[in-house]
Amino acid sequence: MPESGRRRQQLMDTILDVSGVRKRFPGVTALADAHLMVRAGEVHALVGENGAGKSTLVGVICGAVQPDTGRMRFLGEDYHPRSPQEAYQSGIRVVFQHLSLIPNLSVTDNLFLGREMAGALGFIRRRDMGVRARTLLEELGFAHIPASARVDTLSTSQKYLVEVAKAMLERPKLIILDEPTAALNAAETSVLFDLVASLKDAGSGVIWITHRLEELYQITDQVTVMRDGRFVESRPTASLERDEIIRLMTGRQIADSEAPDPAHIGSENRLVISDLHTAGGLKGLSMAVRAGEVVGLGGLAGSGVEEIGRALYGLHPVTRGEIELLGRPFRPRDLRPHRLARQGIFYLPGDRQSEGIVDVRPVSENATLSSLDALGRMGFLHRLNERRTVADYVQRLRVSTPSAAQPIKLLSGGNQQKVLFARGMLTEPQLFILEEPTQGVDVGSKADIYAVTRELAEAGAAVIVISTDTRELLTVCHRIIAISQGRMSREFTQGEADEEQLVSAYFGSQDSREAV
Amino acid sequence: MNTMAETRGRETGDGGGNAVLDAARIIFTKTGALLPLFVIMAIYFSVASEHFLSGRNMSTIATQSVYFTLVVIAQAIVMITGGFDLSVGAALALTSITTSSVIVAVPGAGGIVLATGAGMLTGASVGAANGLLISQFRVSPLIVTLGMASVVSGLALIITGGVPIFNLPQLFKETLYTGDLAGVPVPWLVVLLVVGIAYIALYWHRLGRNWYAVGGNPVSAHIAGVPVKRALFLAYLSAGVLVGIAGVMLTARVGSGEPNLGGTFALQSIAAAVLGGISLRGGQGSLWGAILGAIFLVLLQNGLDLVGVSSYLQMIITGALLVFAVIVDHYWHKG
Repeated sequence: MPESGRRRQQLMDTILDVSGVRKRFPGVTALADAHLMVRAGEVHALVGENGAGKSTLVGVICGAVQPDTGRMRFLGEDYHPRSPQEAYQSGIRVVFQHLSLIPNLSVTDNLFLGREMAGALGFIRRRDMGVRARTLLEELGFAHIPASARVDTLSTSQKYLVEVAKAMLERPKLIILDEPTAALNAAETSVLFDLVASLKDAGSGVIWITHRLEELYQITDQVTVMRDGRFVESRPTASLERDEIIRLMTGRQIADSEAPDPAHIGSENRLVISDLHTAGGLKGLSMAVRAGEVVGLGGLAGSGVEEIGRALYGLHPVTRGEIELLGRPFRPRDLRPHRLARQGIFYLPGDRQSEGIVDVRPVSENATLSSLDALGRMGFLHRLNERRTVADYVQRLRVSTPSAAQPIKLLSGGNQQKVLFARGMLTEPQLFILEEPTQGVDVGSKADIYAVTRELAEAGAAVIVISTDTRELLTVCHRIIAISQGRMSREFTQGEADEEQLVSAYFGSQDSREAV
Repeated sequence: MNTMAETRGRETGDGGGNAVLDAARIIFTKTGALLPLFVIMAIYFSVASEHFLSGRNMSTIATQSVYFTLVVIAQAIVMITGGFDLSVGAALALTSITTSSVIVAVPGAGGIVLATGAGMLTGASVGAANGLLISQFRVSPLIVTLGMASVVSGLALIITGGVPIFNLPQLFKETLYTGDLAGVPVPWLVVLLVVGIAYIALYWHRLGRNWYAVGGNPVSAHIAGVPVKRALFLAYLSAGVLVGIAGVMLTARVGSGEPNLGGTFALQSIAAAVLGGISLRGGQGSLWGAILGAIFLVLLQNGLDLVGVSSYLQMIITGALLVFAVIVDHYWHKG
C-alpha cells in the first residue's frame, strides 16, 4: 500500500482525534497539551496518575468541559460539543465511577430516564420498556439483575452494570469507561470484558481508564499515557512492559513494594472475633490479629467481606458473636465510632468521598479531625502546634498540596487518602482497619501507602486490610483470609498463594473456573 | 478521580491566625457579592439622604446592629452545622415575656439579674428543645424549628394574653440600653463579648471544628469519631442562649415585654448569614462574614427608612435579597 493510501486508511479508521487541547482553571492548568487518537474497533487505555488530566480530558470529550484551545474530530468531522447532550447525540457515552442512577426508581426506569418510550399523547409505554430492559440486560450478560428491582436494593457492582447498560441502550460509537472494574468482582469483570470485546467487533471505540495495570494486557489494544496534563506516549499495549508504563506515568522508577517482615509480629492479640454474625453477610467468622501483623481480608461481593470492617466499627449491625478489641470484650452496642476512635482503633472507610473526607474543609482540619483532644487542653486548640504537626505529616507522607489550608476536595484521590492516613496516625492507634486503601489511587501514591502500612505494622500496630484488589493483598499482608459465604474459606500465609489460588478460595472451591 | 471543574480559586473562611488579616481576606474573597453591594448602597444612601453619614445616624446603626448581629451569629452557628433555625424570632418574643414578667415581679437590681438569667434560660430552653429533636430524633431542622416557632409564639401569647407587659423599671433600661462602662455603651460591650466568645468557640476550640466537620459531611465526621449528636445539640443550645441574650437586651431597649417581638428575624437572619457567605449546605463560611452580612442588612434598612421607602416594600427587598444571596451561594460553593 502506498504511503498516502495507508494514511487515508488510518484516517478512516480513526473515530476520535483530539489534538493540542489545553484547559486552564483558575490557578491550575488541568490540560497543557493533550492528544488522543482512538480507532474504530479499538480498546484504548488512558492511563496516568491522579491529576494527570484524564478526567478533564474526558470532560472535554463528553462536552462537560470547554477547552481553551485545541482541535477535535469525531467520525471524520470537526467536533466541539458545547454540552453533554450534544456529545450524547453524537453517539458518545461515558460511564463514570460515581453513579448517576436514581436510587428510588427501578432498573427499567433508570435505563430509560429521559428517553422514555412514549405512545400517543405522551403516555409512557411501561410494558414495552420493561420487555426492552429485560432483553437488553440479557443480551449484555447481566441477566442476574432484575429489571423491576429498585436501584437502591442492588449491590454496588450491580448498580455499576446498570450504568453500563444505560450507556448501551443504543449502541454507542464511542464509550468511555472510568475505572470500570473497581466495583466489580471476578465474574462480573469477565462479563464486562466479553461486552467490550463485542463492542470492539461491532466497530465501536472504547476508552478504558484504569489504575489497574494488569487489566491493560487483558483487554486493551493501545495505551495512551498522560502526565501533568500532557500527552506522554501512545503505543500498542503489547509493546509496553508494566515497568515502562509506570515510568512513563510517574516520570520515575518505582520499585516493587517490599513484602512486610514477619519478624515484628508480636504475641499479643489486638483483635479476636469468634462466630461473628452480621445482619446480611457474615455467618460465623472467627479470626484473630496480633500486634505488628498485617492481615488481609478478601472475597467476592456479597460474601460478607465488605461488612467486616463496618461491623467492627459499629457501622453495621452485629447479630451474634464475640468481639475482643485490644484485649477487652465489646458488646455490639458499645461499638461506636466516637468511642472506638478514642480507644485506639482507626477505621479507613472504603468510600473516601462520602465517608472519609470533609470535602469543603482544609487539608489541615481533615488531618486533625480525630485527634483534636490531643491538640490542647479542655478542647482549646493549640493551633501553632497543629500547624507544625500537619506540616510534618504532609512532608512525611509526601502529600502533594500547595498548602495545608487548601480545601481537601481540590487534592487528587491519592493525596486525599494520604491525609486520611495522617488523620489515623495522629491518633496513634493500636489497630488499623483499612478498607480499599488504594482504590482510585495513582501508582506513586499507592507505593507510598504500602510503605506506610508496612511501617505501621513494624511500629507495632495491628493492621487489617480489606480489599477487592488481590494483588494488593498479596503485596502487603502477612496473612490473607479468604471469605466465602460469610465464613473463612481458606487462610494463606505470606508467599503461599498466587492470585489464582486466592480467587479460587473466594469461590470456596479449588477451581475458580468451575464456579464461574 | 477528582473533577477538575472543582478547581476554582477560592478560599475557605477557616479563621487563620490573625483576626484582622482574616477579616480582610474574607471580605475580599468570601463575601464577594457583599462588598460591591456595600459600596453601591453606601454611595446611594449618602447621596439620597444627608443624614445617612451623620455621626448620630452611624451611632444609631451601631446600636441597632447589636441585637440583629447577636441573632445572626446564632443563625450562623447552626447553619455551619448544616441546619438553620426558624424559631429565633419566636424565641426572642418568649424571652422578652419571661424577662419582663420576672422583672415586674421582683423589684430592684436583684430583679434585673434574675430577669436576665430567666431570659437567657428561656432562649437556652428553646435551643435545647430544637437541638434534642434534631440530634436525637433526626427530624429535619426545617420542620423542628418551624414547629417550634409556632409553639413558642403560642406560649408567648398565652402567657400575656396578647397584651404587652408594660411598666418595666427605668433601671432596667438604664443598665442594659443607655448604660455604659468607661464610655462604651453596654449593648456594644455585650456584642463584643459575644463575638469574642463565638470566635474562640469556632476557631480555637474543638467545638467549632466539630461544627464545621458535621456541616461539611456528617457521615465522615461520625466515622472520624466526632460526637455528631452532641455537636448538633450544642450548636442549637448555643444559638438559643445567644437569642436569649438578644431578647433580654431588646426588651431593655423597647422597655416592655412584647409577645410579637422579632417577627421577621428568622428570615432576615438567614438572609444576612447567606449574604455574608455562610453556605446553606453547611460547613462553609466564617463568623466575620456573618457579622458583615448583619451590618449590611441593618444599614440597608436604615437607609431605606431615611429615603422614605415603606416597610412593605422593604419586606419585598429583604425577601428578594435572600433569594439572590442563595443563588450567589449556589454558584460560589458549586461542586
